[in-house]
Amino acid sequence: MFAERLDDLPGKCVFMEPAVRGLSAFGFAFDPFEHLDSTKDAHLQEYLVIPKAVEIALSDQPVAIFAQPGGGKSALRIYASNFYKDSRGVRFPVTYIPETYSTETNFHFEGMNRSLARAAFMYLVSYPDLYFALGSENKQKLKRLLLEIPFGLDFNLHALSESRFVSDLEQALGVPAFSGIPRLDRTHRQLARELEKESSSKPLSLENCFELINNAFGAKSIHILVDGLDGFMETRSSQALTTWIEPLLNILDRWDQGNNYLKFFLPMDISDAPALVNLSAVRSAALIWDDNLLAEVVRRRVFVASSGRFDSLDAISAPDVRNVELTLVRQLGRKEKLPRQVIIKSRSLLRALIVSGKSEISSKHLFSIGELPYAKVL
Amino acid sequence: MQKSYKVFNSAEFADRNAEFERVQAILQERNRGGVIFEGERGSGKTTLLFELYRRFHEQIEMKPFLISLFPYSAPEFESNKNIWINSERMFQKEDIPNLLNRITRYLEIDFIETEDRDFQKDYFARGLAYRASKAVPILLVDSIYECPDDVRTELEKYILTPILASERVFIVLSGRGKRPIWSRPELQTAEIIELHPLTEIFVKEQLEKMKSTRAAEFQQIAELSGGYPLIVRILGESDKALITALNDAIDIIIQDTLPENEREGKRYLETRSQIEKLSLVDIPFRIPDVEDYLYPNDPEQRAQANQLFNVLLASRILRYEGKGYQLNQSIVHPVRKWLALKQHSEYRNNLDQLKRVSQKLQEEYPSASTWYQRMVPTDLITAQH
Amino acid sequence: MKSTPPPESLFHTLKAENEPWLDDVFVFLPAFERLREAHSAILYGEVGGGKTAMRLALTKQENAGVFTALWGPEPILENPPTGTELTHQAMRQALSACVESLILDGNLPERLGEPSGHIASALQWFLRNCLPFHAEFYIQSQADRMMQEKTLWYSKLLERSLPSVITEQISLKDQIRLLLMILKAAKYERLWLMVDGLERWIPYQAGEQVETLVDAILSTLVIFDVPGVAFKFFLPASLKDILNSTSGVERHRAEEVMLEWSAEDLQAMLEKRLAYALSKKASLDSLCDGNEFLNWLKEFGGDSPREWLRFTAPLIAEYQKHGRRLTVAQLHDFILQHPAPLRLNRARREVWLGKKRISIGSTTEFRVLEYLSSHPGMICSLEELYYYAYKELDTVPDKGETNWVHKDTWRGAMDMVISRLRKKIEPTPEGQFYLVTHHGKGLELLHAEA
Repeated sequence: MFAERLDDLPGKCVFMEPAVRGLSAFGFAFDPFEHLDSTKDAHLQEYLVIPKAVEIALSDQPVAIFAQPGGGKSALRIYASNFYKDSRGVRFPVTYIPETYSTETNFHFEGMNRSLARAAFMYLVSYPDLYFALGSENKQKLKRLLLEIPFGLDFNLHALSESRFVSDLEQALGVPAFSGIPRLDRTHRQLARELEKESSSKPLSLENCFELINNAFGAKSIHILVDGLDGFMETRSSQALTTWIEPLLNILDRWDQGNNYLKFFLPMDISDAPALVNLSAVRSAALIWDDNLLAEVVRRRVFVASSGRFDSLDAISAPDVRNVELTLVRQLGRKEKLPRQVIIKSRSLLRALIVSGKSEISSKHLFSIGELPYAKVL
Repeated sequence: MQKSYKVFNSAEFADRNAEFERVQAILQERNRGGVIFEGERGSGKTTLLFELYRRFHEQIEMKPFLISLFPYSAPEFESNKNIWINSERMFQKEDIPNLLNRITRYLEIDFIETEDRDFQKDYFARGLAYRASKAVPILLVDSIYECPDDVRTELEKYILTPILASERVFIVLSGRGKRPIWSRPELQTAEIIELHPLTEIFVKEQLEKMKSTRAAEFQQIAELSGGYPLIVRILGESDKALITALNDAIDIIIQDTLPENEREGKRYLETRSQIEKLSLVDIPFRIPDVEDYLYPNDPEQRAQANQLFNVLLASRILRYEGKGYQLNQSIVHPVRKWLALKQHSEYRNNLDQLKRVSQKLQEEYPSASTWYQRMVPTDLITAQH
Repeated sequence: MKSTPPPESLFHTLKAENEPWLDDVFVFLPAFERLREAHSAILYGEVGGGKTAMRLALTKQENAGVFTALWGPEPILENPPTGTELTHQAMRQALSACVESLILDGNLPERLGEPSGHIASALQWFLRNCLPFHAEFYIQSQADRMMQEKTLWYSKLLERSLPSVITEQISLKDQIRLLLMILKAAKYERLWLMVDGLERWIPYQAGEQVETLVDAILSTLVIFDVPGVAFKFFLPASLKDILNSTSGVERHRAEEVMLEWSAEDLQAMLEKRLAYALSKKASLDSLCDGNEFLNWLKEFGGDSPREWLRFTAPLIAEYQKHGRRLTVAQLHDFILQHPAPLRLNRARREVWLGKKRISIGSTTEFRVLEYLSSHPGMICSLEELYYYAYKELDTVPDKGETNWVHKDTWRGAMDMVISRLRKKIEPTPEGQFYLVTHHGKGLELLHAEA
């Protein structure tokens, strides 16, 4: 069937997006179920469903959020980061995801220092005029903070004066900008020159960095989002993982007093680790999904992808088919009741609909997703 | 065409005490948040927002700022600094820096000035986020659902979002039709207050306040208008026969939502006649359900129906609700009244055609047959015989 | 300019690398659609199933601004590390492969022109740190594979004195970001790392280490998750079970896709190749009764292109010999003369005709085939077969030896065994196409393959 359709094309490999093309016939502007990976999802902020219990992730206190793999841990972390970023840095977000494994005592703090340097650099890029208005002491301290930036400050200042778009820097440093300024212009080049001229001594300690972010940028609190801790072979066991983060748990109280909050995004299996349970300083919550919430996950995506034209797959179903979302959720096994699984399920349903060439979802589609041609794709 | 109804006059304002109390309660209970008034065309959202603004303006600890996105006038607020209003044209994306400038000055906010004009709005927005003042800002934005997507997203990005960064803030919005896709949680979870039509006694109050010569006919006006304040107002101001005035009112409430090129002539008449047909459908409908009813024997019926739906959706007098599309009740109600009064032969034809279509759908989807039985309004059938 | 290749080459060459006409005969499968999406994916497929063809087709995507780099993982033989260090070594290999691909296949000189300082210094850093040997020497050594201007451009770049890139404590993820920065400056939007060529290691001891390497990468994919970068793994189906439990797969960091061909897909593949090799109008139906031949292919050709192509090759020769479409009788005759090869899997005691498994219940029957197939081109006497099948003897005992049995005792049983075998494998009731009797001498097995 596929080959026949493509036979019409000239001999060259011509690439099309049949899925997306097919979707537009159903009123979708994009594929709502394309992204399983929240880091690449441009619409996350618009359609993420957040269970009530984990709304504390956005509050002003140290927090631990637990979730199953595929339970939406990273999505919530990115959501929180965007949320703080939208405050223009009044609540200053720093994302710390260790990129390697080491048991050195200061490992996490050094990593955070670098994350903070990235974020501070992007803040200055977002509001370059802010720097010119700072006093000389803050200017000097900022330079010291920025010494920790990956690839070195020298390299980054060259990148700042030579690149054309803020997005070039965002990509290289892996940190989003705070403002909506798209282009790099002469103000940025002036910033690069002034930062280069500024005298520099040794790097600033982490706690002095926090203070600087408050004083120079006017941040009222700093939120350090800690994720990806369980991504290493060495941290698969919950024992090893708790040991690894112990140094961080020990400073919670002290940082709290300076309005600096650590927010942990952790795998569910360490939620009952004594080191965490006994901590009074941190509030914890688990990302847990019930059928209705999962159905809502699908509905929100449908709503956004249809540009708000409809909020349920019922809209593109035969009139005798109702509650498509809930039906899909109920088809999942007990252990599969996670956003990722229901998204995959919905994706297969839409693909099956497109492949079948029908104009609406019938109960046959709904109950035989596994037997349709696209099931070849796991 | 008369445009007098696009003017706010607090003296004519009737009822809505329940809504005021809700807003007051929310303000007292919470530190911050959002309230959205949703309602159909002519249900009085704009007037309510202006009245809310007027009342907040009188309270010292409040700092209200009203943004009116569509052409409107409010002579009594002409000299106010905390309002953005234009009787001539719609709000545009390009107005954002000026609007931000006005808001920041009104709220006495410090901001960094930059040489590049394009970037200034980012510094304004930053200033708004860092705002440190005792008074609680209350931002009121009228008809935000109806404005173009790009304008709305910019408003959200540069004004609503930064202002929401502070500890104490309230946002009051109004809108009609499909809900926009917000990216801020405060807006996604904002308290939605639906504006219902006025009861007979408040129709009377409205007519009296506007010193209508028809105040005595309040019962009939309430029945014909369905209690929608805008229709009450048009009927109350008109000196024509009620049935003619109702016809005018229907034209006004439809025309003003349509794009410029659809408002007059043949195109408008066609749209109006299709709206009359759709007003008879008693269940939420899908396009395939009604295409044969709207365009019988037309080989292009699906494309035609799609086009019509797109116009109506953009006009926000049609919206999707759970099981299908529904026309605004503020249109369905007067249209049905008007059709019943007129007793056109076309009206009978439409009902017959609708019955045929309902029958066909019942056969096509046996398991949904009770649903499609309800497609034809029973009260009208009995009225007809 | 392309010249039409001899038809047989389209049906014999089973290595996609050697098929310059791949674009023209490529068949789009659902799996390919999935593979083309922006995220990381694993394509599992049998040998000869068309994995490499898919990789090449992906590489040729000209529209999307994707830079594809090929990486064939190498086992780490000396003191193989474990845990994160293993992943790091694997990723260093991968980065190295990217940089080499960029030099050899990318056209940076044209795309970057005179690169700005920070891009030049980033590139210089990669050349100095990620090539298998000294950068200047590497560029010179590849001179014969590159245009002269390219060699000069790189040599000049290496001579430039540039702001340094500080890479103490720089993570591999940052290195990937830096590489992507160079690619973006060169107007490539994305980087796809194609991981292929594991088959060459699997049969050896080193295979296990390569498996561990891939396992390690998949398990820690989250650490290298940089927007704009995707890994595309092309793996033998046999690895599926091993890798299924890695967290990268479990968490859908990489989507699993099975390369599967339906009969329609396979038919489309044949038709495309026929049209390309013979003439635009050529199709199976123009060679013979297409349906009849397809039914036969479906029965014996299995579900991968390899056998389908192989079985069709002689049909083309036959068609060309006749110079016209084969009649029904001629097709039947052709099929009988070119039956599917008979293969034995000794370890699992399985008998296959092409890709169709024949159920052989009894051990004696299997042993008869086993003996015959280990004596290719030879006529084996019934006696030899009897002693091998029933007595497990490699040689016929002399009369008087303890194992000797009188011919009359076993002759009937052996006839039964042969007749049962024929029923199972011969295409026609009376035909002797596989098991041929040479009267007075014995049996010969034809069309058998090791």
